Amino acid sequence: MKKKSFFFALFALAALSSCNKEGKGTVVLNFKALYDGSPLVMMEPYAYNDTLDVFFSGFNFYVSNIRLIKEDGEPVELTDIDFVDFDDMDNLSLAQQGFTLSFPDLPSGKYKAVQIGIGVPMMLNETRASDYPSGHPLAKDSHYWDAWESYIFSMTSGKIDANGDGVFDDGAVLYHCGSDEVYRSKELTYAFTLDKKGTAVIPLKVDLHHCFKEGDGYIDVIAHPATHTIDNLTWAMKFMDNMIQDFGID
Amino acid sequence: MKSKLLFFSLFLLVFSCRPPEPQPPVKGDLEDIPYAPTAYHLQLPEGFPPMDIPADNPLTEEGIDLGRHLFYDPILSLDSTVSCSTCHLQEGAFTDNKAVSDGVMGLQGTRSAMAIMNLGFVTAGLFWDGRSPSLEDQALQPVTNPVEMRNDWATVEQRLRRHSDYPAMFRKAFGISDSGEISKELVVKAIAQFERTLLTFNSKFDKKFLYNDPTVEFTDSEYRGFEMFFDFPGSALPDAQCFHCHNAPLFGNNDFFNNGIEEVATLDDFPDLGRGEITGKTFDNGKFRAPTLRNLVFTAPYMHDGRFETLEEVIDQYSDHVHFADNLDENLSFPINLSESQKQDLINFLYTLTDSSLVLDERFSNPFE
Ligand code: HEC
Ligand code: HEC
Repeated sequence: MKKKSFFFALFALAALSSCNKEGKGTVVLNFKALYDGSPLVMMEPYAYNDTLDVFFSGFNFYVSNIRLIKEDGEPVELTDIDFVDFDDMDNLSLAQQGFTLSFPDLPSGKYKAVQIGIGVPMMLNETRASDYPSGHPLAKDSHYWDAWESYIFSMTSGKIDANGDGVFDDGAVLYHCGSDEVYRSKELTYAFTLDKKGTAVIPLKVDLHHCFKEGDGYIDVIAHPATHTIDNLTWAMKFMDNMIQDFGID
Repeated sequence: MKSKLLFFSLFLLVFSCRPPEPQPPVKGDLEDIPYAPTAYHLQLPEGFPPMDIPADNPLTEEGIDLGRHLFYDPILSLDSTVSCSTCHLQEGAFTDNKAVSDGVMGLQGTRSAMAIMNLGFVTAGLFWDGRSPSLEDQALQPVTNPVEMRNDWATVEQRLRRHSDYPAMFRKAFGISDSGEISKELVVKAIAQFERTLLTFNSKFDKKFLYNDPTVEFTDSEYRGFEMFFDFPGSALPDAQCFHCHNAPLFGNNDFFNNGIEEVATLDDFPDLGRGEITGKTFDNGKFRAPTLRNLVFTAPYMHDGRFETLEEVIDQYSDHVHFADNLDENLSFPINLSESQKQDLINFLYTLTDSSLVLDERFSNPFE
């Protein structure tokens, strides 16, 4: 009898542990958009420079080739492509919560870094929105630019008040950045432990105002309101360079 | 004590397991009609996205045929005068060519009937404001809409159950065994199946750019329009920005925009709040789903309220009269300013999206004629 129950216990243990092989956990990437260090609220007016006020109606971008790096250097793949979207964060509480991407079933243990790309990597950028079923991050027809044969990697839109009358009809900001040349990636040092059945949150941030930095000030968005043509990638490059530089742990 | 309990429960078990008294089997009135539906495979062209078809409503030839009959049958309306096809006519690419549609008893709504083509690809929600999540759900609405069919579903179900042909058609499509099982859910499933087959992909544009047919040539004017529509890099022509919201291959978009047609003092002043009515967000007021630009030659007048009779008016609007509002889409914030000949080029390009096979296809026509 004793023997029997021993075997039973052993069997139960085996069954249990096979459900939870090495001990898996969930990693949540929590992205926050900021403006000068505060949560970016859509449609909320902000000072852009000494003369201009701005509000944003959209800020979104593709993230790609996201990997966690274990303490021993072994990479753990999270996803090859996903989409981060702040467009609906039109109040402070939403903006404070930020945008999350969750990755369950990851090996528990100690990690030291996260690698991430901003934009659509070259291989995937050869595909097009109509190649994907609805719901796939790359199925967004508004983010595929036929004439460029590229996805729009990051899309920022907003309106400008230049004369201080409180009406934002003096210009617009429309930074559509796409094409292989503006793909950017980065490794962020971040030490954390993922417990078995646990959840680890990696807090990430990008400051939208900093994405417009130029020299000692900010890009002249009246003179360069849009990054709209592939022949002139100057401002798209500038924006994406700033973005990847600012992108970091919150 | 224990064993008594055991016997009692054993007894209960045996008793409860006894088969019920034999009853005369209830035979559905349709069971003698064979149910053997034929799966229907949509032939989607190269370059089109896959279509989401609900798992509980696969396409069958019998379902599509039933849906087509229901679509054309005024039996759905209060006084049996109005069918779906009253407002969605095949010759109008399934619009009625009216600014606002006429329902039963001459009643009128406030919006223009939308074209029904390639709708299986719409994932943002149907109607101008996206308020309906699926074609099945959408088809429930007109029947009870007080200015459209003004009916109630119990009446419709009753009429269909008593009909001389429909019970057998429902049996063949959905395998019901009794006419009493005819329900609004099955009615809208059938209609949705029919609507998913209303596809259009045989325009000059498709032939040239999707199928690379070497015999199809664009005129210089069409080609100039094409370059402007898609903001071609390196082109000396102005960027007309159209593709941002009307991208190929569907030429519509699964999102909602204010495209600047309405002059308003504040976001609360739109005569039709559109998307804002659904989300309750002021910033969504005056936004509508960007519809497809295929077959415009058949679908006038244009916009949610049918305010523009001609494409000339539409292009004038986009080129020269876009109205500012806080939620005006930024793609339209910069004046496009097309010359008269450029406007004509753009219109000529739009006409390359014409596919008259949609309006001529027998399979989509009125089965009662
Ligand atoms: C009285 C005229 C009328 C009748 C009858 C009518 N419709 Fe419509 N239909 C409209 C109008 C007007 C709209 C747009 C309404 C809105 O956006 O609020 C519309 C929208 C639609 C749409 C949405 C298309 C899109 O692109 O989102 C579908 C699908 C549709 N109708 C199918 C049907 C079906 C199926 C029936 C019959 C059961 C039907 N309609 C009966 C007038 C009508
Ligand atoms: C910012 C997004 C956006 C852009 C850019 C845009 N449209 Fe639209 N378009 C829409 C929306 C939204 C509607 C529906 C608006 C309504 O009904 O009130 C629409 C409607 C239309 C219609 C009417 C279709 C119908 O079935 O009634 C035509 C034609 C049209 N657009 C052509 C164009 C052309 C040509 C361009 C480029 C010059 C263009 N659009 C640029 C969003 C856009």
